[in-house]
Amino acid sequence: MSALWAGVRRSLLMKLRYPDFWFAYLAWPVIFPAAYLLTAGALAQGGHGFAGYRADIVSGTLMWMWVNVTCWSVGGALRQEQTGGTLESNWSSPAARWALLTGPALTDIGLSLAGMVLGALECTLLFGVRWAAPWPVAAAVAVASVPWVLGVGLVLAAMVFWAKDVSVMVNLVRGLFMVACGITCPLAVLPGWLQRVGGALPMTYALDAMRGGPWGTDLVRLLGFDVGLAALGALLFAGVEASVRRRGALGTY
Amino acid sequence: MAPVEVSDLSKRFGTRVAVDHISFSAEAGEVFGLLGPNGAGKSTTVRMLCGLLLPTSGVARIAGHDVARHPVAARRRLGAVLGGERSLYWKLTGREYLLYFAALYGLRGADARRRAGDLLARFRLDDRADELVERYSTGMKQRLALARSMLADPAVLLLDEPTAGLDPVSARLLRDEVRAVAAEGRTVLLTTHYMEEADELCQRVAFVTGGRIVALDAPGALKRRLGGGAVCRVELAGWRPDLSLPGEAVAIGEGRWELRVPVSDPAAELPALVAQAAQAGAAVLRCESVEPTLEDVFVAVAGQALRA
Repeated sequence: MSALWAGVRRSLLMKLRYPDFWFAYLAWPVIFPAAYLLTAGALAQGGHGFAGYRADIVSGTLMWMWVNVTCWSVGGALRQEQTGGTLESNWSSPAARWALLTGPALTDIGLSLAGMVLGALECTLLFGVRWAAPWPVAAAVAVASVPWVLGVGLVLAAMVFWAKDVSVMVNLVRGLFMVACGITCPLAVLPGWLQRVGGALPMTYALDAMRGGPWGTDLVRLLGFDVGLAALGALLFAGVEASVRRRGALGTY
Repeated sequence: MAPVEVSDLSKRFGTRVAVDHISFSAEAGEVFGLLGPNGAGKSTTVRMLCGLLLPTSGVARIAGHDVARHPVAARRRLGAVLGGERSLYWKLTGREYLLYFAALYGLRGADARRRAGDLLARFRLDDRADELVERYSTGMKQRLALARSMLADPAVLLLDEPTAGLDPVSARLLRDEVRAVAAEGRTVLLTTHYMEEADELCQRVAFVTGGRIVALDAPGALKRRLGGGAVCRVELAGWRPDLSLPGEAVAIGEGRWELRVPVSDPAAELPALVAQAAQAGAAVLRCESVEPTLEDVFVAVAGQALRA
């Protein structure tokens, strides 16, 4: 555990030493949903039927931003270590691999979660958003989303070892969540085939709970995704890491 | 049991053999050098010892622990400097960097702070300990990497090209540190292609070429293998492989070659060698007879190995 928290602390210190961090941290959670809010407002011709829809847009876009950051947190940290040249010094220590991987990722997850809470507050004040889900439900959804996001992160991290630069694949995953989970619209308005894709993605259920859906059922589904994706990510990463150590490609980028 | 034991270790990448059934051991307090040109298999060997690379066959043990079967136990007894200054986090201070790695080695709280402080003082970094690493000189960065490798009080230190890129003064300071580390009873396994450095530091060296150890002994003993203790160096223009001159020819740039020939009687053999080169059609630019260096031995041994 000390290795895990050392990774969290190290990653946080390094992030805070780049001055543009605070701009991105404070401004983007408003800028990104605002673009959708303003478009939707215009399409609704001045507000007919739009008021109740604001919370759906803000929860969708904020959730997507969070997934966007955190699904790449493990792979991104690994890629940074690879290209920076620090991977081998970490990997030659006796610390557990999972701690080395998830320490920096937890920094991203925690920071971005706090950023999303801040963004929700900012949007409430600026755009008069009225939230459908009570805050304990939103908090439960956020907590239940950490393991599955880490699972997706481990899958992408395994791909970093395998293919090195996976930015195209990362953007595809982000795009899939963006389109198929209904981040700016209810799932019901999507084409049938896309609804089926959305039904296979955990973020759909996280959003459903945040938008006043049956949160008990949604949380159970999220827990199922947690177990499945975390196990898949851990197994895939362990397999690829062993393969990379056989091939001698651990530090290559 | 020796702190470093390598037995019949091999690494194959597809059809390419990077390390070919090498065996050696290194004792406590010994600086053991793995010498060879780029691509000889030195770094591959070191990475197998660190557990960063799985061997195709054979066994490597650190402090009695098989690095493939018990990697965590082996790494606890091992410090490694790989990749030089690139292995550092430039946006941390020297102290923060050591504290981070102290946690990876299981040191916590006051113990970690004390250990980091001691190492910063030992490696003369204490006055800059709270500055970002990006402001350090290359020599300071390399000393910080060495300090990091000492955090767990390791029995074995693996140093991969530790003085690469350092100015002569910094390199000398680092070599002094390596000697001091070995004097504490630690085993230092050093890879380098700087023959003078190995000659100065190592009690024993292994010459590696083509993934194989072609010679292993103390530097003095290896030099004595050359014969009577002298090497004739004849600088030539117009050397070609078909001239059938003795010794090994090494390209030294601008179309010039240096012929290195171990001899037992330099006073008699040097003039004969010059005459033979001139007769073969090469222009003799300079000639001398010198004490053999480790590089002379390596050139001779590696040349024999390549011809075999």
